Amino acid sequence: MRNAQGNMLVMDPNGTKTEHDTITCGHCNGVHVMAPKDAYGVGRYCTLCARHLCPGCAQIEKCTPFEKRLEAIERSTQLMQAMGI
Amino acid sequence: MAKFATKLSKTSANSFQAIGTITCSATTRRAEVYDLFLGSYQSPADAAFTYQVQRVTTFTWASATARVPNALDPGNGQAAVTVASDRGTAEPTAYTADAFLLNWAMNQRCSARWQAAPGFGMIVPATNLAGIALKLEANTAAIFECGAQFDEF
Repeated sequence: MRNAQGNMLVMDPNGTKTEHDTITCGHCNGVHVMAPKDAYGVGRYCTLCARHLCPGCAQIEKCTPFEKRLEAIERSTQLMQAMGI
Repeated sequence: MAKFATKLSKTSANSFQAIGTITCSATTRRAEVYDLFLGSYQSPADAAFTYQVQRVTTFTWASATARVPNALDPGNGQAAVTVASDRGTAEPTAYTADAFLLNWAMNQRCSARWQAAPGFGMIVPATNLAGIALKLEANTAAIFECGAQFDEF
């Protein structure tokens, strides 16, 4: 895969090494191991946030970048702390 | 930006899913886990496992050992706000349902390493007790050892 976003290396006890490219979903941050020479194994490419998506997130039309989700998680915690919960 | 490394291990006394967790302890910095290596140092046996990385929120793990992450650059002078834990006495609580970040099946005799390109790692939010857990799909008494590297930013 061109411009792989990660690499998974599996080492067998007999010395064989198997390498797979991985992609990181731009919406859920999940890592997906690609089959060799499988350019279509990913869900799709989001043209709004310009990131690869996993098959699960590819089913959802709305673009919610993972950064936005992170900010929501962090904001809710800060709010609860401010309220003393 | 400060890079840290830690190790997580699961002994045969821990007959459950979790191998270890990497969580945040403050709201000041996020972390990006960019390197994981995992293997078993148990006597070789033909057993298959499914390894998973799953998100945790409001995480608690009874009697877990806290692993203090070591700075990869000893000169950075910055202590990690991220905490690694392993060897609890029960299954940790608050796995986020269906929030799996990485899944792969592998024989116990194999070892694996995952490395992310810069910017494509698994993010630990800057939220106390939130982060990721490295675990197996089913309970087991098998022994595993995991190394992890992450970047705080």
